[in-house]
Amino acid sequence: MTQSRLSRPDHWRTRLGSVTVWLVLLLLIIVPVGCFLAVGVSPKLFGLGPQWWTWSTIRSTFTGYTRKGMVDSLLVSSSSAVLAVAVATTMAWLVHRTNLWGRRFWSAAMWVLMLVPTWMTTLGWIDVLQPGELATALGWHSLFLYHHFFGPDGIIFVLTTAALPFSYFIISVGMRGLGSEFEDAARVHGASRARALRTVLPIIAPALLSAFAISFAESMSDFGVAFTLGSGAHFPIATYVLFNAIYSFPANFPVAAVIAAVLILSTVPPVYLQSRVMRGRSYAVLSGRTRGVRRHQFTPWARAGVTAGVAVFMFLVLGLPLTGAVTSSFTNTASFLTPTGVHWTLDSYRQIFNAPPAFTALGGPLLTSNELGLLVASGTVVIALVLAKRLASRTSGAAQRIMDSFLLGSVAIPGIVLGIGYIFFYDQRFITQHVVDLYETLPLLIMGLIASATPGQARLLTGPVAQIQSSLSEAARVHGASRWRAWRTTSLPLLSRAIVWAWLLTFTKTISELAIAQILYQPGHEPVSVTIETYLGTIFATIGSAATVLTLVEMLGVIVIVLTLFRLVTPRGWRRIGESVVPS
Amino acid sequence: MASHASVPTILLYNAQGYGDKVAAAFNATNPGFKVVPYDDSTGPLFTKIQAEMAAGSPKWGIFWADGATEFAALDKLHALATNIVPKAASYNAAGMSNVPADGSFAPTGLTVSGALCYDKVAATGVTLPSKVSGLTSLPAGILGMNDPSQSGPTFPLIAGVMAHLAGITASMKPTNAQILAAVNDGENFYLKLKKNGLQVHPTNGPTLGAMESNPATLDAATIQSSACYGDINAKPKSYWPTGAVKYLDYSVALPSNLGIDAKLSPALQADAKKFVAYVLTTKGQLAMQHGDPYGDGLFWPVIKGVSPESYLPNYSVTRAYAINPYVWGPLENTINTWFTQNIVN
Amino acid sequence: MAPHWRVGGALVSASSIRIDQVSKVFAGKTALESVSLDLAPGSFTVLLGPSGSGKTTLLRCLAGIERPSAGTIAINDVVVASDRGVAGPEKRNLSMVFQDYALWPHLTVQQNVAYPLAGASLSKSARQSRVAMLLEQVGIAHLGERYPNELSGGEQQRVALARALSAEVGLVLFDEPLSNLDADRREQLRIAIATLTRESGATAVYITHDQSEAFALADNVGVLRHGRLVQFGSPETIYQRPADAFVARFTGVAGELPVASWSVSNVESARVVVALAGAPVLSAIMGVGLTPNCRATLLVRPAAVSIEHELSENGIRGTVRDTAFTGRGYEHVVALHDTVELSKVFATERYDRGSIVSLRFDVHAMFLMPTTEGSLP
Repeated sequence: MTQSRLSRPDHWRTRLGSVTVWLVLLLLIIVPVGCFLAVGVSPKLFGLGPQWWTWSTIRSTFTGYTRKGMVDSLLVSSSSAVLAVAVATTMAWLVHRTNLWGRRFWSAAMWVLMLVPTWMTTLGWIDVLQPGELATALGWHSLFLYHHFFGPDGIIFVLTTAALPFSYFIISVGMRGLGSEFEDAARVHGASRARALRTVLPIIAPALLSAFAISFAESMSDFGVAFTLGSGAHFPIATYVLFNAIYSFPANFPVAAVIAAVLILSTVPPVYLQSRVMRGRSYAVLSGRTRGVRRHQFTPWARAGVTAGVAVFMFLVLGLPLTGAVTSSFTNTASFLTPTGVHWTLDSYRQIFNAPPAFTALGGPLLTSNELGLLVASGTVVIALVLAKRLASRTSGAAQRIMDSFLLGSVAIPGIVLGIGYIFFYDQRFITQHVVDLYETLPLLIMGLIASATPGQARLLTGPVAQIQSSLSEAARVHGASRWRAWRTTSLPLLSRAIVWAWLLTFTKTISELAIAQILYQPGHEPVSVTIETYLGTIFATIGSAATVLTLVEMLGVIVIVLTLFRLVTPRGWRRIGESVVPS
Repeated sequence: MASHASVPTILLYNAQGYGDKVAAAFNATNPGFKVVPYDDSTGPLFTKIQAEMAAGSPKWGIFWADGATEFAALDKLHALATNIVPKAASYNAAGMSNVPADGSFAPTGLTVSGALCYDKVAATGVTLPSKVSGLTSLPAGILGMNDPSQSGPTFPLIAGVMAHLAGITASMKPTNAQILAAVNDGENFYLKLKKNGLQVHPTNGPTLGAMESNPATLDAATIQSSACYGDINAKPKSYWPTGAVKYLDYSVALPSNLGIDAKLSPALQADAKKFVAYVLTTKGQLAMQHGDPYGDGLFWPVIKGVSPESYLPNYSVTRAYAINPYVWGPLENTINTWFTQNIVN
Repeated sequence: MAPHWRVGGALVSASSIRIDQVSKVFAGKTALESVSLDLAPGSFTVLLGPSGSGKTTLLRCLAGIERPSAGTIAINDVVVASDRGVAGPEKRNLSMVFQDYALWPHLTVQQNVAYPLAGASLSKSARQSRVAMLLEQVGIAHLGERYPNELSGGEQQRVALARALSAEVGLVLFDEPLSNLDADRREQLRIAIATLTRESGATAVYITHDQSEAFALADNVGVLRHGRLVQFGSPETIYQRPADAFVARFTGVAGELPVASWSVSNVESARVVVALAGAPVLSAIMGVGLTPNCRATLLVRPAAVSIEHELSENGIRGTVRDTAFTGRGYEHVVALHDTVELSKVFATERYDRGSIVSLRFDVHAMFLMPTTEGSLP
């Protein structure tokens, strides 16, 4: 009997894979963040205090103002996450399971909403609500609304709109796995909504909880709101308190570390809940055995009414703040409405390319940010795919749960913590002198941005990856395909759309990312978000608005180009997959 | 550190609007090495410096920011090279009064924190006080200021007001009990202002915005002089034609300072000192003024023979006094935290 | 006669399979325990067992999707899995039909079927005609341009069958291919599988939990239970000489009769005489593992029972509990007394519920088995 060329035992491959994955995560996230968190109990580690070990920082953080900030954050984030999931479920059902008008448009609008960072949304809203701005010009000015916006209500509103698309896409994936059970159950049981819900809930619960968990974590770590609504809200939230601790004089890293640890640990209950509900079930639904979905048919009047409702809602969460930013970019007065009326001008757009002294023109930074976006998006997608595959696998129970919790915890790491953690670790004398000196170079900024984008993307990609039943790639293998060909011809096509969107999302998020960029950018190569930030809050704020608008337009341009290319170069079959979830 | 070709570089952590232009002007005349600016606000830059020091491998070479307290703190940690003030610098009296004894940082220009900026239209019929203590008797809800935890120039103002109300001057060596009493009285002063509807906005920009908006939601604010002058005098068109600046019986001198990392190699330190020396020449001061004509450039020069922008009053009008950064710097965190918790929220 | 297609220039011959002491442990749970099996080239083997019996694991080990924890698998005398490593599925010259079809949703029917031909040095036209012929054979020639989600379940599984046969591999694996289909589609596709696979000449391994499917398709049936191979043989052997009560039950019994006493009547023909509690004496076949004086149960195949017209002295009386029309005749459930029932008792005429009947038993389809074990899971 002869021996076939036998490959290395699979468990070796698996073990090597695990080691590589965790090594990458160690270098990107765990060690730098760990260094930062460590100073919460061991200030002496980085020469920030006399003690090697102390509970005093933790004790003091859990009192007074910082405690209030953390409690506020928990309340605000839970509320935002619940609201986001509720609205997202409604939207997902309307778009995927009914005959709502403009379904593709609403899905596309969700994507745009996802691309707009919270600081842009908030600034847009300020451009609407602030006295003298758009609302005043339209005669809707209300100090009541303005003051509510600068308070818990405004924070919850902005965080909900920011978390909404995450939830929407996760739940959309779950919706597709749902047959017509909802409609059937509703029909069979007639008025008994509760029973219909009982039928459907177990099927869709994993997606709902997953959406809740990521929305919660995103809200907990959001920097944009802390940065823009910040003190004006008179309602301290944890990220704002953390932001203050880090940027205060002198910086209080230990307290910031404790707050960061609380942010990260706050994601444990949602993950636990999710794993309890899923109990090892996967929500794989995209099998080789495909079935169509039935849509609920609204009557013409109901259809028009529901569509109008969706339109009004989307205008409120997306249209209005964008309009605020756009209108203010076409003026260069202190407020949009002046005593002599509105003065439309292209000055801000002219000045953004011919910047006033002490400011930077948009061109160079935008180029830098696009380069960053390209590299960060590509790196993130590769790592996130590998992680998503691990998360979606049904065999490795404990390892999978650890990875899941770790990634969600990482979503809750504010960028500012990651940035400072990178300094703590990568700027250590031993490393800069004996290993590699990366601080304030492009590679380290790229690493930081990848580290910040990867956890969220991995969780977003887990849905599509889990949808592909293992039999599809097994079928490729048994029909003669090598591991690589099997991946390339079956998994890649099925994931292509999700990969393209993950790439685009990371690309745009990278361009708008501010917290890490501000701390780690390479001298002389300012990213666009940092440039825009320097304009805001000055008399040149309208130039900042123009820069924001142009950056958004540029990002949308890239999206259109990439999607057009995708449409042109991929076979028709590739594009059939996931068409109902993401627009083409 | 970013390295360009073979020329040595020094990283300039720059919070000043004119920093890039001054560095460029300097680099044009000094081919031997290059000053590379890293621009950000004072807070993030100072945080970076502290993080780099914690990690043990500082990258910054020169730090340029408003306010002396950060520099005094770094000096206390022996993080600043001393004696960087060039002997040849011909400081004027105002400048000289802000030079520290050990020469560990060099004042490069003066602005004033606590200028009472107001909107002439909005404040019609309001009698503006002439004393700091009179601010509490303004009509309710018309006064604003910045949040010291976000706005660099604001802590010096709060500290200065506390010192001023207690009669402590920069040259005095107050006891701890005196400082404590001053802080206590100062806190009561700000609590009174809050009771009278004090509005706190994050930084100069939003505070000005509230006065410039139509309708104005704020009539007057004690903020940094240069920011008000910038908005009022911007060209080609004023952003705030109805804006005006008034000085009370006391305001705080806010020097912009240069400091050099003590860990820089001796050669680079010598180079960095050349940059400091350049800034303290007429050319350097003019480069600062032209580098940010409607913002940080609106300072009172510290060098003899250089005039401020024409629309700035004589420095003596401001009745600005330095605070002792070595006394007040260590209190910054405590006072800011108190302010955030009791005044902002 | 099936056309002989040449792939890569050489006629692909059917594979011989040798499975030697193969075990598989998943996280401490044993799924397969020392299974050994030799399959002749061109044979059609069905692995039969309830869920959890290890049949799927064995098939996946054979396919190369799963790696055995111990033991050796050789295909055509080439070791493809041993403790030294495993050869990937693509190196085993096999194909597979999956329970969930596993058609690639982004490829058309034609592209799905052509996929395994990628490695073959066929011209484009040869490839196209091969695909067309296969689609013709499985009866869906008109659906070539469609995507899988535009097809019914039966049509999708036909595509999967065509795909499995397209590259003329030496071994075709079937993973419960009919279990997701409704009854009449099932029958049609079973026939297609039986004929087309045999025509292709490939060795086939087919797993199912349905004994009728197994008997209908197999040259040989292997029965698995708790990860062990309990019996391997022709369908007739399995049916007529079940290795134990489990095999007998799993391959179909009408009921089990409690035994008062028994004795061997003919050693050579393995006959026993059985005295039932309160009933006449019956003849039966001696089951494997029966030892003198051990407690025994009489297992009765449906085919062993018939209903007599008249109430005869030799027959056993029972009461008809249920009667079901099957087309060919009637299947009855007959209660012998309160606790013992026989089901699937066939008669060409109908006996109404409640009527008293006399049952006659055929010795060849009754097995006396030890009672100690063998309850169905």
